[in-house]
Amino acid sequence: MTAVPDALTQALAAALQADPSELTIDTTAEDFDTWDSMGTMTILLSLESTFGLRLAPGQTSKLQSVRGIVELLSEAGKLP
Amino acid sequence: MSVYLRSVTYHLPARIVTNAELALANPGWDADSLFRKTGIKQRHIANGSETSVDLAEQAARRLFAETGIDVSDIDVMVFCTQTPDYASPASSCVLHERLGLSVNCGVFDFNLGCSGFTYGLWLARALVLAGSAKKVLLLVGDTLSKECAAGDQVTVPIFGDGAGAALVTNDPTGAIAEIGPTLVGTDGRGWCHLKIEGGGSRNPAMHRSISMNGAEIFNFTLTSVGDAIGRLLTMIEQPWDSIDRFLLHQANGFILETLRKRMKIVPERCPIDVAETGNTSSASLPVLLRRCLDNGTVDGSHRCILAGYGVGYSWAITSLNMLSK
Repeated sequence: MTAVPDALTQALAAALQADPSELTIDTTAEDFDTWDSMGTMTILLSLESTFGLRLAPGQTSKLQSVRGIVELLSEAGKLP
Repeated sequence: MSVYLRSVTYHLPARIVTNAELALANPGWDADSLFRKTGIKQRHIANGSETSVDLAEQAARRLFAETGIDVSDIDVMVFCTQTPDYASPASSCVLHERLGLSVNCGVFDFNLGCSGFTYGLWLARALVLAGSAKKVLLLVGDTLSKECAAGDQVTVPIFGDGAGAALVTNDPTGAIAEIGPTLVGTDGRGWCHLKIEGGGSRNPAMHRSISMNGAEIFNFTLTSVGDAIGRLLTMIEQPWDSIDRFLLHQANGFILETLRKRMKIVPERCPIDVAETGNTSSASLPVLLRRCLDNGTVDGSHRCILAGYGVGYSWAITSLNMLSK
């Protein structure tokens, strides 16, 4: 199982008003009521402020799961 | 040669739908949560038979009454809408008859959303500068509430209905502003993220319903709008701090507040006035400008930027130098 970087867990938990322990690599938007359209926008802002991640057009579809977000960060070279 | 904005006004449907009413009609929705997420408390909604043409007619009649203009002097009328009365003819032809415009008045529609008003100012100014018209009536209006699928939490709380009207002229008499250059732009890669697929020739039998990828629209707004404003300011050789008011398309409170902070503009210089009207698409900028003029947020000494952006993706950023009466 791929580990979720702690900084990402904390950022997502804050954006979704969730307990960090509830977030795993398999978590998706369907698992949280707060991960709706507005929650996705909040995640986008959080990724930018925490990791300096800027998304290109069409990339926000990956913001619907923790795994997708990890992929985005990896592809952008934002994860060690 | 200068081109002027003689007047701007708007019309909203009489019917108001509050967040509490939406929460009552949609199990699981919460009125306070809707406000926290959108900054919108209520929106004006057209009734069943009321169309964009009806709203635009009322806006135009208000403008005529306020300016006392002789309608036979209008050389060109353009109407921006995504919700025309008919596939053909253009809704501007219907409005031409209703408003009693001259047979020598050229009219046509164009289909844009939230960038429509500033695109229209760009077009009207160009027509006047080219000597093709002396007075251009710009009408914008949409009834997007009719395009929202029942129960859609992304679109229903956001969109309201409305229409705007502006008179663009070569005559400075009584003008409220001098219209400066406009920067326009398009990124067609974004067309699929905000669309009404049904009802056109591509999908004629599909039910008409607006679909919006909120995250993509948000990302586009944050990455494009501030940059476009900056490029216009460079074009007109004005620094950011020379602008008294940044009047942005009133998309929703969350987007506007984020964009304002991103551009490092204090709230006083970037009014957010979406709570009572919702997102009225192409009408949002004339609604905002007129309300700001009426409540003194914008006065005759101000240099303003109007920023329209949205479906397409499309954007148009216009500079206005307000004039003292």
